Amino acid sequence: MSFRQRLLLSMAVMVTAAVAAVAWFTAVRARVAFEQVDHQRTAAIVGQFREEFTARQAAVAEALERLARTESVERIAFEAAHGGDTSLYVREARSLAGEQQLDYLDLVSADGTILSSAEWPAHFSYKLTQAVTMHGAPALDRVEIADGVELGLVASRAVTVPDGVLYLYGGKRLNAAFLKELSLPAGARVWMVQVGSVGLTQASIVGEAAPAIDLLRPLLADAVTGKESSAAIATSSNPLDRMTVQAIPLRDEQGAVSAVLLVETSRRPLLELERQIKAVALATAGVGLLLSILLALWISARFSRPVEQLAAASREIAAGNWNARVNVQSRDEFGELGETFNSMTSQLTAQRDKLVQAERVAAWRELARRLAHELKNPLFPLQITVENLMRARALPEREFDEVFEESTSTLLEELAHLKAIIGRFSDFSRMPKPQVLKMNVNALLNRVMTLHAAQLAQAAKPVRLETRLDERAGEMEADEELLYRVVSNLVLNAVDAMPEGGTITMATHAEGDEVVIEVRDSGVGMTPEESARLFTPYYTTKQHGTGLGLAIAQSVVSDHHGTITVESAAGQGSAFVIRLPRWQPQSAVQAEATR
Amino acid sequence: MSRWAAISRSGAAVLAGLLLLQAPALGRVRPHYGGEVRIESSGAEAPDFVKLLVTETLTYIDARGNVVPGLATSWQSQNGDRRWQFRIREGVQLHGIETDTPVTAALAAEAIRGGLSRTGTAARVHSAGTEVTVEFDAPMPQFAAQLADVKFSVAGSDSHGIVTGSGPYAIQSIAGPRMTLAANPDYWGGRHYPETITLLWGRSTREQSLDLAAKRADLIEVPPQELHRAQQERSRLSKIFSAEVVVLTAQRGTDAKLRQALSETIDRAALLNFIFQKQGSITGALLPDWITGYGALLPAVHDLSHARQLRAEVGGRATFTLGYDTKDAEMQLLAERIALNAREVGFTLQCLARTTDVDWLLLRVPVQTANPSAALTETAQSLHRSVELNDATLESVFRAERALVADYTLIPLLHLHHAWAASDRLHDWSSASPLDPLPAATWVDNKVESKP
Repeated sequence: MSFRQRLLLSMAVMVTAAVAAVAWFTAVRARVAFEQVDHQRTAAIVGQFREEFTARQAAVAEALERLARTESVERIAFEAAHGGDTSLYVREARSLAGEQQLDYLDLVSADGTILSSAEWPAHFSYKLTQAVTMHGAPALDRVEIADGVELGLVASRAVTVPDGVLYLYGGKRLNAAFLKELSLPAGARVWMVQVGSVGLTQASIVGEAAPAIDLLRPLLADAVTGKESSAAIATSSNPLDRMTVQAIPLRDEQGAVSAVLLVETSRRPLLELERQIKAVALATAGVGLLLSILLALWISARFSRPVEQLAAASREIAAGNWNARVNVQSRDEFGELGETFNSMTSQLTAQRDKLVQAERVAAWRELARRLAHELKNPLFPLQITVENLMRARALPEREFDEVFEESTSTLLEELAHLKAIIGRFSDFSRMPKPQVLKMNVNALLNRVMTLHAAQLAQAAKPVRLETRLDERAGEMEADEELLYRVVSNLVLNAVDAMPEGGTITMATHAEGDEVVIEVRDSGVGMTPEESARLFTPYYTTKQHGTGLGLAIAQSVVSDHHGTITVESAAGQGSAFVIRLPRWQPQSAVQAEATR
Repeated sequence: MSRWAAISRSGAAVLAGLLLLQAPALGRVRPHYGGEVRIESSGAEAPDFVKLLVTETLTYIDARGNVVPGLATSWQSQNGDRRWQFRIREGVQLHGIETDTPVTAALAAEAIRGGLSRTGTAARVHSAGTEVTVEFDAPMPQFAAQLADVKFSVAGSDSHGIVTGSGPYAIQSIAGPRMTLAANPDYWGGRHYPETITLLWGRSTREQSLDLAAKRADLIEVPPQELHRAQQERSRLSKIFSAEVVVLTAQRGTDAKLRQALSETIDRAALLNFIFQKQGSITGALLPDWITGYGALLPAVHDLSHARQLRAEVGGRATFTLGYDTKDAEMQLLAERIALNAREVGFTLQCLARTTDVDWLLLRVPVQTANPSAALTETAQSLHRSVELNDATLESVFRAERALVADYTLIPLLHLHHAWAASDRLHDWSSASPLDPLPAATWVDNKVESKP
């Protein structure tokens, strides 16, 4: 990834993260604020409910008090106490309740018999299911009616007459109409849930457009145990139709939860606010991203161009153009970097020139030393022979002739030796191009084996020559003669490395498209330093070597697009490994085959 | 003059003075023609007795339940009460229409056809001269009594389409729920005393009471639930007797034991005592005891333990619907109370303010005749049941009624008292009854203050 891309990415991430963080923080703060308002609204609604509740309590108490003082109630009480005909009053409760605007009114005799019932007129002459008790202040209670049970605010009042008493049970219904009377803030609704013995059903909910009871069950499960709780519920698939519902248990006079007040506040405003925040954040992030791209482009143009120039100059130098320079235009850190680079390049060029010069001198010195060394050996016998021959002029003719004969022979030998030395140097300087042909590497190794095996086996310190050939390695393309000379050279080196005799193993195997030739000896081995310098021309570890054998071998292998390596350790023998491509690129053989 | 003679003369003088003082009063109690009777009723249409002041039936039922001649002067049955022949009264004229007896006979035959078709009874009816013949496939021993019902009244229509009849009054005008009748001076039975009768129907009980109290009405209905109050207020009431039966009818097929269980669940006494302030009687019979006298043989049973036992034996579903007339507050209360009773044996009766598509229906059926066979036939027909009588004897009526209620598809609950209340303006009204609120002898005192 380029510096420009990284810069662009970094700025995009930075802008996006910043916007996201602001949006998140704003949303969280909005939610907290909303929930505070929500809580206040719920508290206000509950407070209002309690006020209405208290007002109704007072109204019920006053209505019963007024009723107790009416002549008609006193007459009924008197009739009931004195065994009069109470059947006449079976409709009385309804009219009395109507006068006092009560929803419930039961006229009950001292023994608990209902004389008249406003809410359930047919209930006359039945006895109350529970003992006649006196309520204190009006309280929440479940009122039996013909169709079931209703939630009501109920109080009782005893009307005492001589020899008897009449009980008035009256109250008001806590129904949808009561809930509608509450002035609620916008978006808020309330319901009441009757808690009865028959379990919670949809019919248990008092109020209009109530949510499904199944949505409320978890909430109500807590509320019926007396715990206030709240939950967010969804009434449709529209995510905006989410609401917070708070459940407040309402207790009857005995302290049992007989109803649950549900206060719902819509989460729509909050969700819309969150949506707006998200939209603004997205828009801001988009604009920020665009700006960051433009900024990144400008910054990268400002800062990455010198770096890119520096990289390009470095690549040129790596490619060998030591004259590559950076065009320094600024005086900042990038300018300083460019100048440093240019300075470094100049110094490197100067040092390289010095090094090349030094290496050239060293090479010449090495060459001179080699030549001096190689030439000094034959020259010394030549000098001795010539001096013997000069001294032999004074000897008798027959002796002179013997000396002459012997000296000229020696001279010729040494001259031949000199010629051979010069020939080798000449060969190295004029290494021929490989004549690549299809050949069999295993056959080549067998040929080397045939040439050297018998001779090495008869030496004073016999050397055993073995082959381990892989048939899969057989066919390949190479200059057979050059490769033969390389392998022979390696075998001879191995022999030199085993003055006490040993085993040379020649092996082949195939690795993919490569043919591997290995020549391993069990000789003295080499140190890592010797191994590292082994292929340097004119380097030799032998007493009489020219140091060109392995250099020539490496040259031949290189000309075949292969590699030669050595694995060796002192005292553990050496292994030369040649890796050659099985087929030479664009070789004549291939060209012929293609045709 | 002796002391006794002086005393005698003085006494005679006082008596003569008293007689002189009483003279105007004695003159006022003498019936006289004229005046207006203002009647109010609560029904959706004119009450039957008013209809029968305009139109007549071939027969009438007197206060003792006997069949007496009406438009027919005589009749006879043949072929085991399958063939009935009626002789039409001669010289009877329909109001404002020139008719002779054969025409009246033809109208009578048409009225019989119409009445029988309403009850779904097949018959062949034809008139010839002054006679009308009706032939049935089955014996109809009660047919002569049945003809006294208003649905068999003989009526025509004048050129304006107004109903005309041969009764003591003719329709003078009809405007909305108000009808004015004018006395028919040529009525064959003799002219009735009041000159006009004004009827206003569709009035609530309370409105009627207020109008009577304010002297804006002369004759009003008193339903059973108002009777006690009316008696306490010492209102001027007609004879009071049961003229209505409350029946619970099974509208759908249910197990007989289940129906019996429901019947025995209902506390009829509480219904009567509390809802109708004891104005009536509890019953297991369709016809009131004052008509038949055998009410004790069809008792109303209230036995909760037996009802529970029957309920347990039957099992099955326990929820039913109970319909009642939506406009009848008493029936609603009655239905709710029955539902409450039914709860005690494990029934759930859902009370619905409708009269169709229900399992049980609560009905009030008026009893409009004192003749047992006719009353049973009419009551059964009102309940969509048919009655087969071997003859018109009381024994036959009893058997037929017992058969009707034996399977508990009809559960009679109460016989309710009815009465009419009259203003002081009506005289000679003492024979009035729920079946005949305005007797022929009643006359109106025009001098008694009235308000329009």
